[in-house]
Amino acid sequence: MFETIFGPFALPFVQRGLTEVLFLSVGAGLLGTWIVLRGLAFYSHAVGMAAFPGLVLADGLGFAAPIGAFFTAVFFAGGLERLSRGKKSGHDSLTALVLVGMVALGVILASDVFFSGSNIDTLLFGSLLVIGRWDVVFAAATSAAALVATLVFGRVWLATGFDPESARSLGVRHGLPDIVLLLLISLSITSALSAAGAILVTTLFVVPAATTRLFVRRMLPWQLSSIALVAAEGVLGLWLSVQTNAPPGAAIAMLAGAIFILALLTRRSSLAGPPEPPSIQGDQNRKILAPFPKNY
Amino acid sequence: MVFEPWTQGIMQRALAEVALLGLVGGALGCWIVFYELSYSAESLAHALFPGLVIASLTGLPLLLGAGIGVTVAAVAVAILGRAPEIGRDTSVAVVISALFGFGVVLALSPASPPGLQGLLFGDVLGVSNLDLLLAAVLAVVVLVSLRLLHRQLLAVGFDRTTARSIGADPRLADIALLVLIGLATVVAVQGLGNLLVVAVLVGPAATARLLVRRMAPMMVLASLLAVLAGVAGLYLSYYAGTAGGASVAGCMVVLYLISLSVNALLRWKRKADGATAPGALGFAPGPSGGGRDV
Repeated sequence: MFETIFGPFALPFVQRGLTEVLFLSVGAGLLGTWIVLRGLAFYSHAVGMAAFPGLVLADGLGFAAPIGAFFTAVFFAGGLERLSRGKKSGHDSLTALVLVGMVALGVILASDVFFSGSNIDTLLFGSLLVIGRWDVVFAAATSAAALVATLVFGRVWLATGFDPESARSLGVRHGLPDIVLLLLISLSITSALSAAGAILVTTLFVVPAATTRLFVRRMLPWQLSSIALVAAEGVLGLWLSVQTNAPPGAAIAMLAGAIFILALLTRRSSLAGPPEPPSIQGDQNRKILAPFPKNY
Repeated sequence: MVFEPWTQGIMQRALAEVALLGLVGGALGCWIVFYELSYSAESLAHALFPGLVIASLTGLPLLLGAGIGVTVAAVAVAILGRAPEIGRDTSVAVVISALFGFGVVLALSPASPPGLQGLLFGDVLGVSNLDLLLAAVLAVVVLVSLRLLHRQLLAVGFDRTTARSIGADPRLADIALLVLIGLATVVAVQGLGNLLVVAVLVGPAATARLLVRRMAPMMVLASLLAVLAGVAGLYLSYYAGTAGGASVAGCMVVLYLISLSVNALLRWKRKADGATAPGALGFAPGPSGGGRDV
């Protein structure tokens, strides 16, 4: 009994995956709350996908994958910032375009330059079971950075998250803090790529924070419970993947999705009170305020 | 040299597929850009992955699997999006990671045949006649629905709060748009694969929006540009030997970047000439005039 449950964790490569996912959980849980609060889900998904050509280059030329991923992620973030400067709407279509451009570049590099073949699967889906020592160090470093930045900038991020307009009028300058947040998200997502892969990285960063958001309203409990949930889902998913021979990233993704749906259902039945007005800057509000049709 | 690629059956079918997905993607894309639905459009394509994998495991037509997969995903996004605490974007993220994870578990299980990459990146050169016929039917459905829904979508898109007073229903418009995006994704996924579909759904429309302001001309122009970029991608793929889907997607992104630079250059030139046009090119009355849209 004991053996069948804890047996997998005696294997060294599983232990390394375990350390990795525990380190990642701090950064992913903390930043996840900011991603959900600030509506940055698409950005975080896009950063992960945009790192694809960097991973292909690293694989083809034989240098460390996180370096390639990090530079393409920064290139992506910088390019997006440059293109969307001065625009009030249409950020989402720009994000989508830059993202798909990067993926197309990655596909062409992979299929016509380096002939990466079956390595593509690993690049796209990652694996917690083939983690290197440097991946763990990188994850620990980004998590520490996320923790420090949350302590320093948390108040500003919170103010701009709830009400960008009045935050500006109250004199909260959010140029630098916002850039720090975007960079930090890029960095953390890069560090999670080798574990979760380009497409599934949102499982660690968005889904757990969205799940706990259903129950918790205050910032600190929300952050702590998100970290705990990422860690729990990561460990359980890793265990499931060893037991069933499924890829770990995908196992965690399914698990996180199932837990979210369960959470939504229990909350529906237990809290039957009137729904609160959306406190996150909703898409609806933004759309009404968006100054699209200027000259009609 | 120019017509040589089109003498082969494979390339003729690829051309037809690119034309179909260009027409649909361009026209629908204008609404995606207008409604800021790029994330939903991008992720519906990922979320239909389990449908594709199940279809290829059981030997059903891929389009059928894609259709079922996309329906499940669209319904899930619509349901989760109604939880007030998490915005639409977050609910989209939840749905795609769960469904894509499911698809990957199926696809990478030891029992699955290889060929996963064809599903991810599409195979514009491997389209069969049956696929083309189904895609054509779906394309007609999407275009006709867009024509019928035009006024509704326009009213809701401009102003959600007053749309109801002139007989348009915001919720209906949202659901209709999500379903149409799903159908268009099913058409496009065959050629571009589920990682690259968003190129045709957003690229040509964003390009056209830089050039014209009114909705109907924008849709026509976007469709034209999409077909053009698609054909250019096929030429590139034929002569340079690059991956088909990625070449088509790349051409669409490059097209956008070119128009963006031309636009910026014109704006800069206008400023240098001292013409006191109010604001940038985008906000000045376009060549088609600034009248109300139909």
